[in-house]
Amino acid sequence: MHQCEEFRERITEHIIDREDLAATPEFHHELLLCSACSEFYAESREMIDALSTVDLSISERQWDGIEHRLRMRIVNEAGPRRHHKATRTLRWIPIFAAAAMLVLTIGLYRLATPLVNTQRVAVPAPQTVYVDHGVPLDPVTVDFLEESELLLRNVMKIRPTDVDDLADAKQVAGGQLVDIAQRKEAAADVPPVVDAIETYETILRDLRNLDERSAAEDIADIQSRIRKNGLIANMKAFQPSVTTVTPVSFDFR
Amino acid sequence: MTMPTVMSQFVSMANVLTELRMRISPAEEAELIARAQTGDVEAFCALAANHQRSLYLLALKYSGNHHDAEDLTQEVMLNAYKAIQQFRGMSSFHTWLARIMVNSFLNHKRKSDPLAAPHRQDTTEEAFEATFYSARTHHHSEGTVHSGLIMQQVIELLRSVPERQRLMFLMKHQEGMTCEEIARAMGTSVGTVKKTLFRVVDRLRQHFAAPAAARAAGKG
Repeated sequence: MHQCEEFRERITEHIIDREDLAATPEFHHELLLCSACSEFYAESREMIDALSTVDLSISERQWDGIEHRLRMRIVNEAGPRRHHKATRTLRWIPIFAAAAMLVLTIGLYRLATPLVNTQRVAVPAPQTVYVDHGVPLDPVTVDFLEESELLLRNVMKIRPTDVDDLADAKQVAGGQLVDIAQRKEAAADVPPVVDAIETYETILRDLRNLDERSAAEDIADIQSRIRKNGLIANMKAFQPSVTTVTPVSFDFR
Repeated sequence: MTMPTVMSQFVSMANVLTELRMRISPAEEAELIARAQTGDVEAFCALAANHQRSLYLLALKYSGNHHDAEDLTQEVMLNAYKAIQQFRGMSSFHTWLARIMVNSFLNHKRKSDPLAAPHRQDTTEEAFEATFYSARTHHHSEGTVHSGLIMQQVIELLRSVPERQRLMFLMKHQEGMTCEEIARAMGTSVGTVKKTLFRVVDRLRQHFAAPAAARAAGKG
């Protein structure tokens, strides 16, 4: 059974590749069957042929100029980056020094005061929490991941008719896109996080560019990609996990 | 223009593009990548030079003018340079670069795309004029002027396509990438790529068919 749309979708790739479909028995037969599809093929082929005649020839002198300017930009970029790396290492020195001072002060204080009251030991607070910083990320990136997880969960629930929710999602996506390059740079030492953010970036962009006319189809595609890439789980996995620790009580009486 | 002439142009353009992309062997490319990952700027520049021409031509059709095309090419290469440490060889360098290109191109759109920013219409028109002014000043043959006119029509047609769809189409048409490669680079499914290509071709066909029919009616 000939289905025009399905057939046209199937042959489009071959048309762009400028293959002669009349020479392919399978396609030729269907082209003979349907005059509308035959017309689609002829017109599309003509359009692709015209596109391909466009002469983009650029002289070697122009290429040399383009290459030279590109080279200059890369070299200029490389200089500050090297310097930045060195200064980044140096930046840690005062932080380490401050941490060492803090440890020393606490150590001295502990030596001066007994750790446990041998007469009566206070029961530790019932809700002690343990924060597992599984991956070394800065607090801003952790916040970003939390916000991303929230947005993704909202998007998974969204329906194309929820105009307000769509507008909110577009707005949040736009806001996050502004910050995303910095977040990628901040997480550069943790490649899986960068990968997750890059995949997330494509989702954000599609959200921001959502067109009301094709929202139904686009939302379904976005939701399927979120699911397929396990993005929500990824965003959660890279956040520090907080667990309640059962307190252990000591009684020395 | 006769069909054999057109076909010979396709073949020559395809050959040129292949040649541009294959100026260094895969082994040489792997060595350059390894060196670039250790911070060798010269090695990265050699890698960039190997891919910049096809990238520039794609950017030119995508943006419609030389200024933005050069800007986009530089942006892609700078982003690639910043991320080269993260390249793990799971895919070819070209595929990896394509992914960076997609991100850079689509992020760049806010600055230059007339569809995304209607208030920039005048600027974009100036940019288009710059393209053709550039074409006229660099080449003087009649054939090139004709080509410039087709180019104008083509770019105007492409402008009517949303940027993500436009990019998918150009990756297929200009770069000759497979639907699977495009899907990987765009982070979407092969089915979506095929559907999108159909939508774009159908849209361009309708725009293209109308003036052609008018020309035919005029001749008759």
